[in-house]
Amino acid sequence: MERGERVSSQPTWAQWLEGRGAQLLLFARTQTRNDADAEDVVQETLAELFRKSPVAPPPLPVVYATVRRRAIDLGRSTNRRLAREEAATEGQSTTCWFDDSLEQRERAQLLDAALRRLPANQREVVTLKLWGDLTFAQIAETLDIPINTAASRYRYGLAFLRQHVPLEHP
Amino acid sequence: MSHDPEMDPEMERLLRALRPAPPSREIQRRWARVLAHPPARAMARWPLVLPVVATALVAALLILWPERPDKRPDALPVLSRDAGAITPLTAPDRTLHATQIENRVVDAYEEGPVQMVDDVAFRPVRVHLIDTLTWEGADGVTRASYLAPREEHLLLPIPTY
Repeated sequence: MERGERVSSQPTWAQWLEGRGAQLLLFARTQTRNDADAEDVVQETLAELFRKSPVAPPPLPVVYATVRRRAIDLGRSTNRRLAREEAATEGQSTTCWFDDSLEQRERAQLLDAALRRLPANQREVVTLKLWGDLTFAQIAETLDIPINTAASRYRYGLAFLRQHVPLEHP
Repeated sequence: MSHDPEMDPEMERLLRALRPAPPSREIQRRWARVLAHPPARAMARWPLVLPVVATALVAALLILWPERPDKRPDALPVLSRDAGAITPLTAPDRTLHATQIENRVVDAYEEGPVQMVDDVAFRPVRVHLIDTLTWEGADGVTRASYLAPREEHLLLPIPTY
């Protein structure tokens, strides 16, 4: 080992983003009204967190909580404009939230449709638990809700998804 | 994955197998640009901001700090018109001197005559007064007055014939 070389188990921002980018984007999509806003929210979150912690990314609950806060701020500032835009683009196709390029395309699209129809408070818990790799305690911290509430919303959300996404391979 | 049977582990496994859609190349490039900007740029503004804030603070203190007479110099230098030399200007004399004392009767109430043990009769009178004390400065302009209400009880002898 050369003198001065840094020894750290923490991933760099670039490494971290490579593994977490899709998860962050999915969570941002569940919190915003369209893909463009979700991408902007993730970008603003990265900028904010990178400024505060340039050496290594903060813990996941902090990251997701920042995404959520940014999405809420954006929603407040653009509510009227987006309502007009949504009315204008109603019925147009949207990007699938899941990787539908493989053999599970049909199931991914069913899940995408079902997840969009879930109540927002269940959707965010399900997303953080299944694809955000958070525990119930971390979800409770991220969303500022009791752990039991998080678990309850997850249970209801999972039951809803089971009704709309077949277990057997379609 | 949850091991709670209510949580439907089979469904969880199936859903986890569906991965979130990866961000597009364009989005990845945008995010990479965000991480390429060194955050030190934002921090570098502080050395510029701090002196400005400190200067503003000192200026505010100088303006808002109450004037302290004991720190005022006894003589202020002024420029003389004639010689162009600097001559001291003595501070004005602000000593006040008492110039007037007044006891003004506002009301007087006569009460019934009383007779003392030695058969001398008196007339009690309750008098309301305002005492005024006035000070004036040497310039004849500065003036301070102190007014205080007061009550006096008098016994005036009634002459008997």
